[in-house]
Amino acid sequence: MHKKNTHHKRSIDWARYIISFVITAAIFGTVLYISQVATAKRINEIKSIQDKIAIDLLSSETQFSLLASGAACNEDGNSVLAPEIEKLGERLSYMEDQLGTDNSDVIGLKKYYSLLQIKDYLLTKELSQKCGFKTVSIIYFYSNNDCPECTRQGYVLTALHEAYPTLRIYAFDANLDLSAIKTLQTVTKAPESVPSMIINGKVYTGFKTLEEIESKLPKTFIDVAKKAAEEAKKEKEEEN
Amino acid sequence: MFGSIKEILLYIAIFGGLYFQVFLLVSYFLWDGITEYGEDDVESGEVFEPIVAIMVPCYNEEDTVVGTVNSLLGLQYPREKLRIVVIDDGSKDNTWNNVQQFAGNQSVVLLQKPNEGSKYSALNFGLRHIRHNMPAVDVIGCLDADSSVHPQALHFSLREFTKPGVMAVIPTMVIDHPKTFFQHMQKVEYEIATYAKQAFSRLNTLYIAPGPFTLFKREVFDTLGEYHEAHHVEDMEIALRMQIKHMRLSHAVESMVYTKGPSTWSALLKQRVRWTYGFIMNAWDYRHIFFKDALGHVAVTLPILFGMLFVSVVMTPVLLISLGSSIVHLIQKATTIHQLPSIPDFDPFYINTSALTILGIITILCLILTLGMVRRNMLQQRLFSWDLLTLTVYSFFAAWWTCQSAWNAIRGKKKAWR
Repeated sequence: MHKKNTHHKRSIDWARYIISFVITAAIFGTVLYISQVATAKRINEIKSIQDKIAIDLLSSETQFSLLASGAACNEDGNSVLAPEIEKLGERLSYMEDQLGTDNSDVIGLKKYYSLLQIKDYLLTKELSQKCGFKTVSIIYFYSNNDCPECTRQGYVLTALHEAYPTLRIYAFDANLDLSAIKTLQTVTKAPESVPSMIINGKVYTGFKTLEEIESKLPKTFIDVAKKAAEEAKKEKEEEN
Repeated sequence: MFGSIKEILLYIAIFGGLYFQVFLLVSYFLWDGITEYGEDDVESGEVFEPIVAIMVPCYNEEDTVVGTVNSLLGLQYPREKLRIVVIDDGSKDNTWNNVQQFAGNQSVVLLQKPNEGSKYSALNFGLRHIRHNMPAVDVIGCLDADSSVHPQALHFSLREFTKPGVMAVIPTMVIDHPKTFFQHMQKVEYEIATYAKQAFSRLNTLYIAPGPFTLFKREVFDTLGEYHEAHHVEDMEIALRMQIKHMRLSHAVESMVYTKGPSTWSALLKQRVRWTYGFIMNAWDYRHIFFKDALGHVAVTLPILFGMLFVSVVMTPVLLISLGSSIVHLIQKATTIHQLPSIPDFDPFYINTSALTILGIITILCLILTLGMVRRNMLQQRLFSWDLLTLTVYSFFAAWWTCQSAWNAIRGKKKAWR
């Protein structure tokens, strides 16, 4: 015959709850640690790219001063830094998304990045004046706070750059506490309100669509850029 | 501000989810086979072959009731020891006519009563009949008229009674031939539930004695009396009363019961709102047992589950707002540049290593591993199939019915106060 229901003394065996809690907490701790290490690694990666760019910029400037005039006018001077700076910008904006706009690491890196952009802009301008290079640039002022137009403008500029890889776009956070940005705003006569853009020296305020910006770019530039983009596309297809 | 509150809530929810899974795994592996009753002798050669009565309450089940009764008649069990009590709960369709084909069967009793709006009254009607007219019946069970049993289900369930102190045995529920998306989703859900039942069974913390094919010793009803209305989930309420009286409930993993499962969203929502609302109300009614040491683990797991329900109620709107805003951004991006955003090239730099993402992935992996274990060890099924993907959306649906149930519970309380 089966056993009778014997009344066993029951009690809560807390060891299971505590062991489970310790294991869960350990998993949490490990993950938080790994995540921190990964973030620190990325910040360092950005820093080292910035340092490399700073050296390259300084080197170009020095070369330029040494040789004066047009002796430094080789094709390299026109295109070496741009892709590096763009890569940096993309990474930085990703970190900003991940860590938040008020993260001190992000703010520090952004200031450095802004200065590098200004230097690149000045050097490119000088080179194109002295060597006769035709470069087209857009200086873009935005803000991350309460500016839905800026978010949309950002999408447009990203798409624009994909269409014209040789187009130089310098983006500055107008809210960043950096006097060089304020000076750049004054020098380029950019308004206080964001978004605003300086396209080849002319000031434009408010959101501009892709087509509107395209219409403001020199026609020769568009033709050359389109041809280059098509060739690049063909090359890529052949590679595949 | 919203961002940081969202993060804190997400951390709490993930911690809760992970903790619960770790707790079940720890209980399952570290305390394998050890219960409050000592080590269970599973391979006991003892044979328990009592007279069993199975009640089949039905309300408008003309399509399925015959199959249900036939599956019971197909049980591998001495026919003279089996009684099937069909209770037509005032059906408006052909249920009563359809069951007449069993009228001459020695093992089948057909009863009819007017409908009173809840299943518990039909069960009590059947119980009274059994207790007054069938004194030799030792084990009483129930099978919903939309379910059917495996021929060996009774054999495996009865074997569970040979473990010390077991007064009720619950089966493993399987979704029968899933066809629609929602049925496949329930199939995976029931598989996870099988594991949870097994873990809860070892902890002696089962708090539901499901309608389909839970078997009770007659003593249970002699001691506790009849079923209560219990917010339409009488199966949870009776299990809680058993726990309070230290009557052991056990899960017979090999005892398979097949149920159809709602095929559409509206039917599933209706079922789940009833269940979840019932869970909330009964847990609330029995809150006096929370953390009562003398009741063992059920006194801890019940409040934990109750609390997790509320975390999920808070989490849902948070996650939905967050998901909604990402979709809005994506649409905004596409409409601003009049083309679909391009997919960037792969770069290890952009692998998301935020703690929340990693923890979310670990939680889901844990769940999939558990499921793999259930499928291989308990259900003898293929480890991977496409229906695992339903896990990715399950929580959203679950959150929906949880929120609706919580809302009903709050509204219901207000009504009761007036």
